[in-house]
Amino acid sequence: MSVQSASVPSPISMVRRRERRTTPAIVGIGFVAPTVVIFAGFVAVPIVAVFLTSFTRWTGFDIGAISWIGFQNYADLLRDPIFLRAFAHTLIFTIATTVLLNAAGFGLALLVNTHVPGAHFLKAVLFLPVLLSPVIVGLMWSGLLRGVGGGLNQLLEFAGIIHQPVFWLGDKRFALAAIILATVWQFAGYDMILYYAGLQNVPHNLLEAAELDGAGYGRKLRHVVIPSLYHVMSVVVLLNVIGGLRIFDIVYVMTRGGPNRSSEVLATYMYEQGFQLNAMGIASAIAVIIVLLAVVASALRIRILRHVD
Amino acid sequence: MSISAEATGIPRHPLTRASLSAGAVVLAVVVLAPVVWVLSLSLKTPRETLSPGMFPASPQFGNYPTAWVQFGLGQLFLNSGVITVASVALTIVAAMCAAYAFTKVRFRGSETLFSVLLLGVVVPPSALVVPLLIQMRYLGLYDTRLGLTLAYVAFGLPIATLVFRGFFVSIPHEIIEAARLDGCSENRILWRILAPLARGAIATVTILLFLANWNEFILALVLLRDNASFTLPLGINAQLGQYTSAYQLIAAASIIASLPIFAIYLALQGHFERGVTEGALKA
Repeated sequence: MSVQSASVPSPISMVRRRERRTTPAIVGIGFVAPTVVIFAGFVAVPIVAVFLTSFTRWTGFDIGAISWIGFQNYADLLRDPIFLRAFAHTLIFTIATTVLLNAAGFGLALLVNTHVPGAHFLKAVLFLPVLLSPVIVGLMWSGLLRGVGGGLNQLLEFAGIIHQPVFWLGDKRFALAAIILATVWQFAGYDMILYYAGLQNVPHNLLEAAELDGAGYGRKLRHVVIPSLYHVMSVVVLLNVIGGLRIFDIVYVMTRGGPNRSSEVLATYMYEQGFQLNAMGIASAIAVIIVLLAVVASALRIRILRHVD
Repeated sequence: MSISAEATGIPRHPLTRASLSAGAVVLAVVVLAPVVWVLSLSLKTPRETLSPGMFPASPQFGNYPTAWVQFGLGQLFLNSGVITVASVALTIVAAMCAAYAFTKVRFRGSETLFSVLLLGVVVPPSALVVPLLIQMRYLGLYDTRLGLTLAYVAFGLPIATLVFRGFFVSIPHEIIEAARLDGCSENRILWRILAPLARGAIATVTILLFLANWNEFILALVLLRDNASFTLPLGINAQLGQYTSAYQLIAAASIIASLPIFAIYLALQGHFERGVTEGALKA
């Protein structure tokens, strides 16, 4: 480009040269400086730090008490049955919520998009839980699923389905499922809104063409609507997956990972190791695993999208 | 509107329409039921919270002022308000500056810098709490509202910069060039020319960050220790242990804590839905 502008002084290159003169790099650097300093200080440095401390034995907050132990923390984790359960629960939670949220979100978006009476009321109602703090959603569902005086038991007793209260959150068969249910309740409206936005961009001429070819609802959905939603779908799936891998607050509030570790996930186990047992090295190793899973998920999304396009 | 409706086949048969309508209403009732149940719970007597009855015999509106006092909601509101407003405002100012540089004052390495920043969209804050806590202690920011505010700014910057960058890219370069030829400083260009045009993007980012920061839990849990600096989610969670049986008060406090965000949503419903959608689909 510089060679070209040297030989032929086109108007464009003159503008470029003037721009370069009036706005030196230092101005640009000045504009990004606040962002870079804050991001580096509280995100980038911690990312590097958490990788480093995951290779250390470190109890408590005294930096002098750190000793380098290589991959020992990771090796210990692989032999730790609680970690392995937390890992499995995180994957189960992530897959279950992603599948359920996408199915619900897509189905609800189709329903809302019919614009029948009541559809817009449903859209507004679905969005309400999205606004709530997961802490409050956790408290709500703890109340609903309580043994004595819980809403679900009240309903089931009223319907004559059960006669003794069921302690849903105190039962290791139900605890993780209850958290999945509460999460799907909270975020179905979020996925719905994203799919609904995607539906507004389905190319109209393709639909008309399909209709002229005599395609019914199912065929239009499969051959026109869904293919044009691939990009939205990839975003929604990725957001759900990252959200699932990092899940902490709702589990912490509803069960603290119990009973008997039956709803323990990676982030709650990391919290226990780091802040209750002061095992910063182990906690860092668990954190690194969460980060790596999230990075792999977003790399996969990019690859799959490229493949689809 | 009719185009989008047809996109998924607007049902023409009245019977189909009626059954879809009925389905929508039933689903709305199912989704609302937990909320109604908590509302009812918040109006019960302590005895009633343990009984099988769904609704209170006579609504105990006094539960709300009681919850306000017992949970110290005044202080919690103040903390949440200060931290949320400060962090959202700081994030927006810093992110607009950065996005301006990334699109209109590019310099060597700015592309690389931007891709590093995007890492922040993927890495969850919960994974960084161990090093963050240590750092905050060394900086003297542990258990301060300033420390938590800075953490929220740091985690909000990537998505905010992404949204602003997307908007600034769409603004023709000629506008900036013309302003520069007129002797406008870069600062004036950004704040007097671009910012007014970017109102939509500012609304999007404000809504996204307000929701995220008002409701945030794990960073607050790790970085704050003293009740005096607690935010709402943290304060309500902390009271739980002390009033485990006072379910009606927990319900009332939860409702009070959610009211501001509901009020804002009702006032700006369209903006909210657009904000959340644009924020997510930019990623």
